[in-house]
Amino acid sequence: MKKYSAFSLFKHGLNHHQDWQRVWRNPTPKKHYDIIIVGGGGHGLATAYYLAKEFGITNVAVIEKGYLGGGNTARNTTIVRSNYLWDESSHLYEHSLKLWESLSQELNYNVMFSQRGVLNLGHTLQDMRDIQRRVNANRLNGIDGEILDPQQIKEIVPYMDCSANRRYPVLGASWQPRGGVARHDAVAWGFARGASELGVDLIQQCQVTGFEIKNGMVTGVKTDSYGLISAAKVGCVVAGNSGVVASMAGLRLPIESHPLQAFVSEPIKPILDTVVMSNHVHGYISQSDKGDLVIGSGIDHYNGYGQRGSYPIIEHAVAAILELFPNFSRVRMNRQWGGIVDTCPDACPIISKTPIKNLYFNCGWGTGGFKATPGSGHVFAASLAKDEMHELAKPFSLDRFYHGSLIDEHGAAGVAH
Amino acid sequence: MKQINRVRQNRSSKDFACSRIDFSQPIHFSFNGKEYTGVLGDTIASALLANGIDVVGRSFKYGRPRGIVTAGSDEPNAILQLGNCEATQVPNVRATQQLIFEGLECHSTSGWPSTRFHLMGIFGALFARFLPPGFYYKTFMAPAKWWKYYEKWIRKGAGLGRSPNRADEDIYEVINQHADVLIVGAGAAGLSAALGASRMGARVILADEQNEFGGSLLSSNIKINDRCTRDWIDAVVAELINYESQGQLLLLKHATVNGYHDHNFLTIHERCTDHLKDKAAQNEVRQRYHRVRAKQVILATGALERPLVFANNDLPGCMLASAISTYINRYQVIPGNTLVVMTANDSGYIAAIDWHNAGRRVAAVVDTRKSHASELSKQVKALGITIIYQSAVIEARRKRLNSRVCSAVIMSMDSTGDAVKGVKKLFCVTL
Amino acid sequence: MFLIHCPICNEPRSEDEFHCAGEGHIQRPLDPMATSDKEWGDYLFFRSNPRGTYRELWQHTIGCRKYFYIKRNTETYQIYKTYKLDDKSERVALDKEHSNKNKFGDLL
Ligand SMILES: Cc1cc2nc3c(=O)[nH]c(=O)nc-3n(C[C@H](O)[C@H](O)[C@H](O)COP(=O)(O)OP(=O)(O)OC[C@H]3O[C@@H](n4cnc5c(N)ncnc54)[C@H](O)[C@@H]3O)c2cc1C
Ligand SMILES: [Zn+2]
Repeated sequence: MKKYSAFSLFKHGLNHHQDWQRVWRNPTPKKHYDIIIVGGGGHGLATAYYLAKEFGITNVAVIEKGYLGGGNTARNTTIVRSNYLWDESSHLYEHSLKLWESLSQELNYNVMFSQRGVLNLGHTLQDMRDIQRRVNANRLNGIDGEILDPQQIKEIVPYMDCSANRRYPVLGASWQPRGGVARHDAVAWGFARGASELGVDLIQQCQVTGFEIKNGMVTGVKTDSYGLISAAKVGCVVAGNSGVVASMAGLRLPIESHPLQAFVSEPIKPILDTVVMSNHVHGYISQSDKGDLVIGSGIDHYNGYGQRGSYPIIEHAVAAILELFPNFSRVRMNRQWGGIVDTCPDACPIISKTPIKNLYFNCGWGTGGFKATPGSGHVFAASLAKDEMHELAKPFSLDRFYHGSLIDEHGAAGVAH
Repeated sequence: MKQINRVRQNRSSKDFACSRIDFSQPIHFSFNGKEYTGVLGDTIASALLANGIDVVGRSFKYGRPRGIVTAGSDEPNAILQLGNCEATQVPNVRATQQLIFEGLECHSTSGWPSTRFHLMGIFGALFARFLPPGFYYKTFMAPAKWWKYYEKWIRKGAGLGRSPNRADEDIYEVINQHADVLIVGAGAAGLSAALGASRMGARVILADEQNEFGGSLLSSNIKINDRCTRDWIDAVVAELINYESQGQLLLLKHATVNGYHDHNFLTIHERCTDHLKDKAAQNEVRQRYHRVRAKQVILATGALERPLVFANNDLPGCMLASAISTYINRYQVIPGNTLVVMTANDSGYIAAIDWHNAGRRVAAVVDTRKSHASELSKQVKALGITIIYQSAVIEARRKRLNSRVCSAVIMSMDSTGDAVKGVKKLFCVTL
Repeated sequence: MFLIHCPICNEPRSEDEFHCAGEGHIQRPLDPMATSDKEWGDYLFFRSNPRGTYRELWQHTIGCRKYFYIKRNTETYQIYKTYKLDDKSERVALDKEHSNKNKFGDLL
């Protein structure tokens, strides 16, 4: 792989950028793979990358029905943090956050991971009690976290209205300085480039339409463009389509698919240097490096595969942001879009074997899986490679819904991001 | 400063029969701290062009000088910061959409130390080749902990206008509406549809983002039933107003339909006072949001002209042909002295005719097609304008780093439209 | 913004007057104590979640406050019909659909 650097930019600049190496190969699929990953989003690509890089399994294909990273990876609001409440989830997200911290160097691709800190605001006494509990839990798990009072918040976000006479006054916040945002597309492209270089075949414009299952064991996938492709193991990482893909194998999942939308304003000069989230007024906001205010709020309350959001959410999101930042009233919205998020009853993902042998699912990340991209890929790759679920993945098995060992993260997952 | 590009003829002259400005009402405004005068009916763009301003902004990354390209909401360059005080700052207003009012203050959103003399422009001109699209993915990775500082620098360069840092003091309003027919766009098609539906007794909403009804007719010199477009528009609008007074019709100007949601639910953003003043009066609504449930929706939004591709087509002075006609016919502004038109269809000829009739020189019309004898091309020839067939502008040239177009480089094409041969240079200031 | 015909009010109203209460026609196991963990888990958490025709329970929260069913398409967002709780016709249609698919359904 030709290394990227300021020097390589300079060198290629001299001959008008005519001979850059393609970022990834565009191969026709082989007849058989050791492992097929269904879904070429960030999680699928990261899985393939770590399979090749850490476990030496390179006879791997990623099969994507559209283009790489065009699903939720392309549509999310890129908040990265690890301050979840329960041990199981905070360990998983912290594992991911650690990988984020050196990801640009690992991939030799600048994913623009910006540790500008994340504020979760509290507006009621109960909010503050929840925040205290969560920050304490985080600290016990070695995760950075502080509780800030309105004055300290004001220093970080000078233009937020923290006055006491608001309808929802800001009483305090949890603050995770190591949290932040990243450039979502670059994450997918960086993993894709790395995986392709290590020998993984990235197959785009190819939809998986079914599975070949013999004696309760998966032996391959059926596709629309290349027919049957056989595989010893199959891992499905299809975000908003998990239910649909699972039903191709005759399975049901404890998942419901909802539209989730996001918004960006027109680009403006830097005014917000951190990520602000509020479960209570139910909205969150950050500013991209390009200058857009990036805004999100809740999911549609009904199921939908429309990849667009419902109108009431738009009004709600704008109202929530203006409650916090009345000065943004004259900034105009530029675009609005939707993704499909697969939500689990306990707001935690499923990383699991299934009743069908050699068929694995990694799904249910709901509104908050972008932050988990490297971690999820890493533990899923380990599980696929060793046929044994990674320690961090074990609590997230499918059968927790029969044992009752749910991991309720509704509080920390909070406003849908 | 003088309005050097304004043609001072009144409406009775036949060439400006459809002009929409009112000379009797001069309006003073400021751009980048300097005072200018326009007239009632002007947008910021038409007033700046009238005053001979060509550089209104800078490109985001390379700092290239940018001028006004269009005459409508599709304007990519003339993006300004508006507002007389902190609480009324509005970022990223298109100069082509904002009417001027007495005392309006606006600024370019890019350019340091100034829009005319721009340091990034020099930097961009020297280093652009080393900063291809997406260069930032390939660098700024070492040492890892420096990304914070790189990012700070990147953020500084990005963004256009700025948000106010004080709370908005104006009042806004939301209204639920129900309609049998919602018509989006009040050009010839939209107006006719509104008339037809109203005459049948339907409850109609007609919304248009411009400050007047008429759409493309507002900038056209054509005749409808032997009358100028202005007469036709006025007659139709008069009849519509009659329906409105009976409560059967709602006419919305300055109103952008900005969302089309499930089950025929649409939202309209109406700007009630933006074109009149910096801040609405007490108890006056500045903007209104209409949530409309419509039984039928008619999209009559017309078409946007797309720019042609050639080297340096972003230089100030390169404009859309339709925008040129708009500035001439609607605002009596001729943005330059000598014009070269490049076109791939007959509509480019209209701009040449309008320019010529306004009294300035057309150097040539460059047509990518083979020679032909359409009605419009005959008219152009009759005016003594040269048409160069089967050719294309391949490059726009400038004299200095920050100046506008000074010439167009033209080459002829073979029948496939691929290969080009022969070079010719035409001098012009508008393309 | 959906336009939903409330079968009780017998009027079309906007989406923001309603609340969706999830998949419809789910039968609670009649004797919870005699129900296996698997059956109970299925009942509580596992949903059909189809891309296509779906029958849901909705409530007219800011209207008559009554529950009713919507049969709609989750991909096109077309609403095929709304019907009252005692309308059994869709229940019958649903049972027929079920017996046609989910061959592996009881693997879980
Ligand atoms: C609006 C929005 C905001 C969000 N904000 C945040 C946030 O701030 N922070 C955060 O951590 N998370 C956020 N998320 C969640 C996050 O985006 C996702 O959890 C994460 O990106 C999922 O990654 P993925 O790779 O699993 O899914 P995806 O990127 O969706 O990839 C799945 C891929 O599978 C493909 N696929 C589906 N079916 C098939 C098939 N049959 N055959 C082949 N390919 C198939 C799809 O085309 C898709 O490319 C947000 C999500 C949305 C929608
Ligand atoms: Zn009702």
